[in-house]
Amino acid sequence: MDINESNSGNAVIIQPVGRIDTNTSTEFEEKLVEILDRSETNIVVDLSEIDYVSSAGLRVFLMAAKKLKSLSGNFILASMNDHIKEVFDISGFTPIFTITPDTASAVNAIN
Amino acid sequence: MATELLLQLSNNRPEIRNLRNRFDIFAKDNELPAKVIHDVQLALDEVVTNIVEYGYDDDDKHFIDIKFILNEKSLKIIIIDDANPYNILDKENPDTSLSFEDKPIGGLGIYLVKHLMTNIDYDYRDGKNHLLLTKSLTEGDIN
Repeated sequence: MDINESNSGNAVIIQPVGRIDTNTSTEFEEKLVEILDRSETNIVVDLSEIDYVSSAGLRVFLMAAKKLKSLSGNFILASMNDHIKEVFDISGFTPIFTITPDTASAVNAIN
Repeated sequence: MATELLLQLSNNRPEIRNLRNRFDIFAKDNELPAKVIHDVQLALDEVVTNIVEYGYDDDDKHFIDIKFILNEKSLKIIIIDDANPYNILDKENPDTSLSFEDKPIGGLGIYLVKHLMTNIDYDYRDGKNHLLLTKSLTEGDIN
């Protein structure tokens, strides 16, 4: 899968493209682990180019959020579409994640 | 009039990608609503991944038959496999209210399928799982 990466202030913004599912979740996890290994503690995931997130993807989000919580960092999910939001609601993930309407709000929340 | 698509996959991961691509084309050709496409893609990913990853005790090649039947009211998906008997309707739902640290991941995929599909039927006969997923196309259901 294509994963774009950029920086804004103290935050690393990654933008995966397509779907985070059984086929792509490993690649997405490897990208997050690589960023965590660089001791980055503020990560924003821009979901504007993501069509859907399956349970394999939810598992990766949870891993990253737990890791950053233990480091007192920030893990923010930005620009998720309504379908993904519904999946988060059903799974009980909405209350435990920081979710922002866009990446600018996410970066503001960090800096 | 019903439109049908028949697919046969073997039990390996790349086949899940093929399934996704084939359904994308079917969905586009039939102008399915975005919400229906989303929910069905997610359900297929969860169900077929379960079959491929956990359904077989051997390393042999197995086939999974998938039939899509589309009419004005609904899209039905019939998934037939010779994996171990597994009725997703019997599966206990995870506790989604648990805190961050205790959040369960196992069972979440099937839980999502149960929520996103309009109806689910299951039958085990002739040594095979028969799973019927129905997604309504009526206005109220597709948001």
